[in-house]
Amino acid sequence: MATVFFQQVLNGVILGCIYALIALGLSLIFGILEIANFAHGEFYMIGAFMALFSISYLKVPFLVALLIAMAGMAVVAALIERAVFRPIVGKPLINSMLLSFGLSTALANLALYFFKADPRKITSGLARVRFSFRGLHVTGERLAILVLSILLVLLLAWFIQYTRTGKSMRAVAQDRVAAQLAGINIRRIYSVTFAIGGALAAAAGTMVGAMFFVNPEMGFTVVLKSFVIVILGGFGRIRGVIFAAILIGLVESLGGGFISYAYKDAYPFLLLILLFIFKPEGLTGGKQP
Amino acid sequence: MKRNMVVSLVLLLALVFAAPAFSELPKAPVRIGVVLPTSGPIAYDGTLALNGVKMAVDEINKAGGIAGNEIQLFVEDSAGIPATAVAAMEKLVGMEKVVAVIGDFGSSCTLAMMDVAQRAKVPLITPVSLAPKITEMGNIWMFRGCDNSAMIAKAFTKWAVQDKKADRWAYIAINTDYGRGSVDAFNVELEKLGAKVVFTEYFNQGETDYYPIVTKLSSTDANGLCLFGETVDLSRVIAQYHEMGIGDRMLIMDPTSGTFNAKFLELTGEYADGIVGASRFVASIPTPAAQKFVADYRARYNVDPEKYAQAGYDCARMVAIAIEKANTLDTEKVRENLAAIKYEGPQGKAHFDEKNQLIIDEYIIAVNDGKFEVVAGPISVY
Repeated sequence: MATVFFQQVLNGVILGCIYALIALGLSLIFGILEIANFAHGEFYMIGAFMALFSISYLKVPFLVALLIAMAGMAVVAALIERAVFRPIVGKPLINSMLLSFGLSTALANLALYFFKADPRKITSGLARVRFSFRGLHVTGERLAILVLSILLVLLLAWFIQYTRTGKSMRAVAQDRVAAQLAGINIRRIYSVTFAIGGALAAAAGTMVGAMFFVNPEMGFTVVLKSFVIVILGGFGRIRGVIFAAILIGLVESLGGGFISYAYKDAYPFLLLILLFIFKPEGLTGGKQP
Repeated sequence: MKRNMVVSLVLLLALVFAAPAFSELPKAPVRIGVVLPTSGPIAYDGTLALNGVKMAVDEINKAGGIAGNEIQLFVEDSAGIPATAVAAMEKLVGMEKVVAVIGDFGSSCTLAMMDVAQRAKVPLITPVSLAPKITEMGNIWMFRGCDNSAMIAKAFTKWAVQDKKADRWAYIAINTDYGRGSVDAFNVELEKLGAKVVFTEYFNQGETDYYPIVTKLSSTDANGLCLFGETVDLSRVIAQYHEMGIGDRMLIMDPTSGTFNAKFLELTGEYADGIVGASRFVASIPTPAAQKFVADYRARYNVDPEKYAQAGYDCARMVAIAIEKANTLDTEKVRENLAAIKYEGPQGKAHFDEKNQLIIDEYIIAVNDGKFEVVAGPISVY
């Protein structure tokens, strides 16, 4: 029984790491542009397709495909920010919600038209490599995903904490006008934020595409879960979001394994409702960092 | 050619002797309706059934039609949506004045159409829908032209428990009427055979992460894993089951053969090998009738037929025979003749029981090296 418990925990942590990648981008975009990006799930989906096509047409290895997808999606996300979201920065939140929701539907249906609903799988070549340790099983693929997502999250944390651009991003998140007065090019920061969000989503999409499937509808459920994570963790807080992502991964995995799998997708939302009732200031406290 | 001559001769005789006694078939095309999903998520499978229907009708028309009258098909797309299926059914019986309707695919669509059939007094025959209650509701206008999950359960459990010694079962099933209904039907048979059920979990359609289930499964002592679901979902279950490192512990069973298709093989590769299931039809059934059907179908569609195409073909043929026997477009007579039919199709002999459920034989199928092989059967379930 203990082995099963730890196996479920391991599964949950891997899932949580992937959620963290998506939710972090969403949280950054919200923190800096004050935009609720419902199209984030589609960034993740398009990124997964980029990796899929890189592997099937360019015959590159999995890791290279991941980098191609991240770079490609960074460019696409920056372009989308420039063309679609730039005009509504600073407007009420409802504008960005409606706009991004429309964008999400449009992108998903375009993908459905061009890529077809036929589910496909990204082949990493590591799925059939299995490791066992004291009764715990993990495939090479999942291990690689765990390591990669931890690396990406650390890289992001370092970038935001120590680089000049990262510091500017934090400044814009705190006070847009003051940052502008201090000479920060906030338009560039907007583009960079979207590019980072897109790249992280693409990385997550590629990993999920390897573990599960790539299809045009993969973004819908994930974006809702990511919003739950961002709300739980606090908008714009990196540590809180990572914590919340892993929590959601664990809740799904343990709830699915020990309570009932059929209602697995309900657990994160149940958690959110409980949070709103008992701790409305968020998991990691009230004040802005 | 010879067969055509025999058929025409029979038709001629039938005309000469039978015609004066009853109201004769009018000299006009016989109108038959079809409702199947040719768009939407199950369009691929729906089209397979339609292919079978079209092939049967073309064959009958080429051989002289029904008593010299050509069959005219009226095909409506239900898109797998019950409301659309009902609208299609209303159109067929109300405007097109068809004599009988073949359809639909999903059980929920068929259940919705049944009432229209009863009200309009038009026989409705489904080539695919599995839900047992379709034929349990006492609607005499409703026919099921294929096996149902209870019959599959009967044929399959006996083989799996007694021949394959799988006596501790685990279920992973889709969270729908089909999944839950199938588990119930199988539990009834397992109890009779003295086998135990040690694990039951349901998943929602489109689920991707089955690790919570397979992890839990790994701690049970099950020696048979029974799956109910569709191609894509089950391909993930199978892959993650193997990733968990318990691949050789259980006999993997897909009794309703939802996985026995080319897409599943593509998605799972060698993980598909060793999966066993029951099916009323696969292209490798060695009887001459089956092989002739497979050859004709392949010549026409360039692909092997599977059970949906076979059922579409059989339903169209049975309806045509019933109309021919009735020798009238009176739907009450057509219904009576359909209920009393003694049919022999590519799959074997078939007839309807008192609930209008088709009684046909089952075959046990195994995936071996990417091919579907018949390992046992035909098994009679009557």
